[in-house]
Amino acid sequence: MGINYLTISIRNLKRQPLYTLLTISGLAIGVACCIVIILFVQDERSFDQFHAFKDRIYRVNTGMSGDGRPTNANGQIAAGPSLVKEFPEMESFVRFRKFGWNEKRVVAYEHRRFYEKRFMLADSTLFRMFSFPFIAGDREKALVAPNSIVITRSIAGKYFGDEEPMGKKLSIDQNNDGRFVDFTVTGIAENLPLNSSIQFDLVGSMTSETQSFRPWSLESIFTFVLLKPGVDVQALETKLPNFLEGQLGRKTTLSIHLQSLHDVRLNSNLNGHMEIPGDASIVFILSAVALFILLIACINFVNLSTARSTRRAREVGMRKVLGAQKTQLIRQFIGESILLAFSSVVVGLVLVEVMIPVFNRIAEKDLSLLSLASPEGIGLILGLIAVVGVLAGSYPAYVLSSFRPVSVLHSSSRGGVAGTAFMRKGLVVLQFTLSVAMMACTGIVSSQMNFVRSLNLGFQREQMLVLPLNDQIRGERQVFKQELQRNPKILGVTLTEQVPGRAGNGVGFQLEDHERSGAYRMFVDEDFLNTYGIELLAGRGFSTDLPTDGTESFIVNEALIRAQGIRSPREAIGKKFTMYHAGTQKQGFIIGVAKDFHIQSLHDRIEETMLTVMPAPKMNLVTIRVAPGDVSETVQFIRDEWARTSPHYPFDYYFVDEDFDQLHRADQKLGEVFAYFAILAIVAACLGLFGLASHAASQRTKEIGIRKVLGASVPGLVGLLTREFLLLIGIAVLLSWPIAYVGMDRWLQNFAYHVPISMVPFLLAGLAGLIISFATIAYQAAAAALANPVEALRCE
Amino acid sequence: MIKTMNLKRMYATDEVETTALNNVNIEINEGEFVAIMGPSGCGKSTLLNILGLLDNPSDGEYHFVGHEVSKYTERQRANLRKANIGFVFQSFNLIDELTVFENVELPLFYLGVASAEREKRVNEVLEHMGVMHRKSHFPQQLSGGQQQRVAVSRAIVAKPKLILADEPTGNLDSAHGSEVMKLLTQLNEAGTTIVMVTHSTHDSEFAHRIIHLFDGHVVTENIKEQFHV
Repeated sequence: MGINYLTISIRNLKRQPLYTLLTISGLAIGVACCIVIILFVQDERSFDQFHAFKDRIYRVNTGMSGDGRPTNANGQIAAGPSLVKEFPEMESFVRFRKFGWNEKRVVAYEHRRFYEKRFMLADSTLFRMFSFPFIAGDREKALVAPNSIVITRSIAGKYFGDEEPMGKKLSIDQNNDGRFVDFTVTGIAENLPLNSSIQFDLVGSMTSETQSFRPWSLESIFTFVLLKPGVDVQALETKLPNFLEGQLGRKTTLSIHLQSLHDVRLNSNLNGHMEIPGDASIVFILSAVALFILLIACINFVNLSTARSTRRAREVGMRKVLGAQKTQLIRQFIGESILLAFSSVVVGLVLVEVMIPVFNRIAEKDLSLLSLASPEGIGLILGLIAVVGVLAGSYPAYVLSSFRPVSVLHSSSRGGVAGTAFMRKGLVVLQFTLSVAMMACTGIVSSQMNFVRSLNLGFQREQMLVLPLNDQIRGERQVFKQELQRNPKILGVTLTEQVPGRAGNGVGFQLEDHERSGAYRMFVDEDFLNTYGIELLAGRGFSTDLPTDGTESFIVNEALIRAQGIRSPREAIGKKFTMYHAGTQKQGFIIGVAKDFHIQSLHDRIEETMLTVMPAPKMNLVTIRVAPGDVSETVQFIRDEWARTSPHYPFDYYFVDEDFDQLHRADQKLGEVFAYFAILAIVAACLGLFGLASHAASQRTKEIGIRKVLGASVPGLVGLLTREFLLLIGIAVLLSWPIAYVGMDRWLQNFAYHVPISMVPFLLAGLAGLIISFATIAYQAAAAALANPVEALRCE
Repeated sequence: MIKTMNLKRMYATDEVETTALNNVNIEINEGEFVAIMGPSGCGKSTLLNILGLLDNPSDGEYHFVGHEVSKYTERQRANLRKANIGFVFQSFNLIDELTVFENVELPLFYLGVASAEREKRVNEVLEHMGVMHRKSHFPQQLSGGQQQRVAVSRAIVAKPKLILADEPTGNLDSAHGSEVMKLLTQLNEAGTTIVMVTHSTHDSEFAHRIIHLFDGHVVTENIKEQFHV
C-alpha cells in the first residue's frame, strides 16, 4: 500500500499544480540555504582535520592579561624547546616564525623577483608533526640544514618553470634590509589546502638569528607541541604556571596554555594569528538564518496544506469509515510531505549550484556540492529530507487525520479542525516577523558599514598610497622624499613602522612620577603628522631641524593623558616621559598632544597611544599622500622614482582606505550574505502568502459575487480581501522591530564605534514588508474582484 | 445483530443543547432489510452514524453483534467496523485521486488482506457489479450510476455482515436508482443485513420493515407483511 500512498500523493500534487509549485519552490529555497550553510559549516569544521596527529597537536597560547586567560596565539621562542625538555608527556614541538603582520618579502631567482606574503621559518619537525603532502624531497630532513627551504608546487612553477627546483637557491630579503639570504630548495610540498589554519608558500629552516631572540619575550612565534598518546591535557595544563615561573625565575603575570588543533580555527578569539581564524559566531548566525528560512518554507507547507485540507476531508473521512486508524493516516500524510521534501531537495540542489558561486565570492571560500558526494554527505541530505518532511508534515498530518468522518461525509459542514485558521494566522505572522526582522538587520548592517567607511578617523585615509620599504629607499630616504615632493601632486611623504589601522604593537612607558603603564606605539618620522593630517591639540609636531626630536621627543594622544589623569593637553607638554621597548628605554619629554585618531579597526576603542621618531631601520612602510583627481599619472611618477631608487624591488602599493576597509571585511561579508538571505526569506514568505491569498479568494468567490451584485466596487473588494492579510503583516512588522533591535544592538556592541540605531531601517523594512506582501496578494484579490459575479454565483 | 436501549445523542454548542436522538430502542436481526424514514433533522443520519460505529451515543446502550459498543474508543470502533460494516452514501464518497480499482481495494487494505488476494476479490466484485471495464478510471470519469455501483462494490468487497446505506439513490435518476435498489435487494437475499436511510417511499418499499423517526423518537415501525410470507 506504500505504492498506493505514493500514487495518491503524486496524483494530489499533480491536481494542484499551483500549490505544489509554491510549496516546492519555497521549500527548495529553504533547503538550498540550508545546504549552502551545511557546506560552509562542513568546510569550517574540516579545518586542520587532514593531519594524522590532529588529536595530539596543541598550540601553545600566551596569556598577557594577568588573569590566567589566553590572550595571544603567538608566543615565545623558548616555549617549545623548554616545554618538551621539561615534560615527558610532550613528544616534540614546531615553531613557526612569521615576519610581522602584513609584510612582504622579496624573493628572487635569477631575473625573477616577486614579493611573497606567505614566507615563514619553521623548525625541522614541521613535516613530521603536520601531514602536509610532500611532492619531492625528504619530509623528515628537509628543514634540518640551515638555510634550507620547502616551497609549494605553485611557487616552484612561478620561479623555476620547467627547471628542477630541488637543490636550487632562492634569494630572500629576509629582514627587508637588502641583505639577501640564499635558501636551498630541499623539498616541494603540495599547495596547502584552503582549509588549513597554517598557510605558507615558502617555509625556511629556523635561522640562528631567530634563536637570538630574548627567550621569553612575546614575538611572532607560533609554537605547536605534539603530545604523546593518552596524555591528560587538563592535568598537564595545571603544571604550566609552576613551569613558567621556574623558567623565568620569578613570579609572573604571564601564562601559557594548550589549545587543541581542533579549536584553532573556530575558537580562537585571540590576538596575533598566523591567519585570520574563522568565527564561531558567524557560523552560528548563518546557521540560525538558514534555519529561519527553512522554517519559513516549512510554514508555507503547513499553511497551504491546512488551508486546503477541506479538499481532502472526504478522502480522510472515507478512509476512516473503511477502517483506517489515525496513525495510518498520519503515516500517509507524513509520507506525502517527505515526498514533497524530496522533490524540494532535488530542486534545492539545483538552486545551490546557482547560489554557490555567489556565496564563494562573498565568503572567499571554495565550496562545492561535490563535497556532499560521500556517505556522510548523502546521509546529511537524507536527514534533511526527513527533517523537512516531518517538520512540515506533522501538523498538517495531525489536522487532516483528525477529521471526523461523521461531519465530513454527511453534512454540508467542511469538517475543518478548530484552531487551524488561528494557527495559520499565527504562522504567517511568524514568517513575516522573521523576514522583516532580517530586512531591518540588513539595513542596520549596511548603515554601520557606511559609517565605517565615512567616519572621520582622525587621520587622512583617502589618496594615501603605501609601499613596503626596502633598504635602498631607507638609505636614500631624504633624496627619495625630496624627489617625490618636487611633484606638486604629492602632498606629503612619511616613513613609518606601521600605518594607522594596523598599529597594534605596544610599549611600556612612564610619565614623570606616575605608575609605569602600557600604550600602543607608532614609530614614525618627522613628516607623519602632516602627511596623515593629524591634528595637534597642544605643543608642536616633530621637526627635522631639532636633532633632539629624533632622540628624546614624544607625542601622545588625548586618551593617554586622560588615562594619566592630566586635565588639559597643554598641561602635558614638557612632562618627562620614558618609553620601554624590547629591553631598551628611551627618555625624553612630551612635546605635543595629538587629537585622538584610530590606529586600529573600529571594533577597538581608541586607546593610549604614543608617537616617537625612530631611526630608519625600524621603519617598514612609506606613505605618500597624493592630491585628489587623476591619481594614475602621479602613481606613474612614483613608480618611475621607485624604479630609479630601488630598481631591484617590485613596485607593489596599496591605499590606506582600502586597507582599512579590509579590517572590516568579515563584517562586510556577513552583511552581504545577510542581505541575500533576507531577500530569500521574503521571497519564501511571499510564496506562501500568495498561496494563502489565492486560497482565500477562491473560498470567498460566492461572497464576492453577492457583494458585487449588491453594488460593491472593485477597489472596495480588493480592500476587503487584502485587509486581513495586511493586518497580519502589520502585526509581524511590529513584532519584528524589537527582535531586530536586540539582535543588532548586540552585533553593534562588537564595534567600539557604531551608528546609533535609528528608526529608519525599521520603518523601511516594515514598509517594504507591507508593500511586497500587498503586491503579492493584490493580484489574487483583483482577479477575484474583477470576476463576473454571475459565474461566481452559478458555480456555488 | 443490532439492539439499542434508550439510545440518546445530544449535541452541545456554546449556548444550546440539541437532542438528536432520544430513547431510541430498536432491534434488527440478521438478514433483515430495514428502512429508516422521517423528515429532515429527525435524527436519521445520527442514528445511522451510531449504528455504523462512526459515532458514540451520549447515553444508552448499543449492542452490535453481541458487543456492547457504546463506550468503545475510536480505535475499537474502527476495528469492529472494518470487519463487519459496509457503507453506501448518497454522494458516493469515492476518493477522487484513486482509480475505481483502488477505491474498491481500500477496505481490504485496511483489513490487512494480502495484495494478491485483494486483487482477486476486487476483480470478482467489479465483475459482479458490471464495472470491470472501468477499473482503471477515476471516479469523475464515470456516470452517477456507475459511481454508485463502485461505491456498492467497495461496501461489499470485504463481505460485511451489515450494509448501511444513507440515501443511496438520492443523487441518481430513477433508472439508476432502481438499479441500486435491486443490487441491495440481491445482497439482502444473499444474507447481508441492510439498514437504509431514505426519504423515498418508493425505495422503502424494498425493505422488510420501516422505522419512522420524528424529533429523535421512533414513532412507528411498519412490518411489511408481504415479506413475511
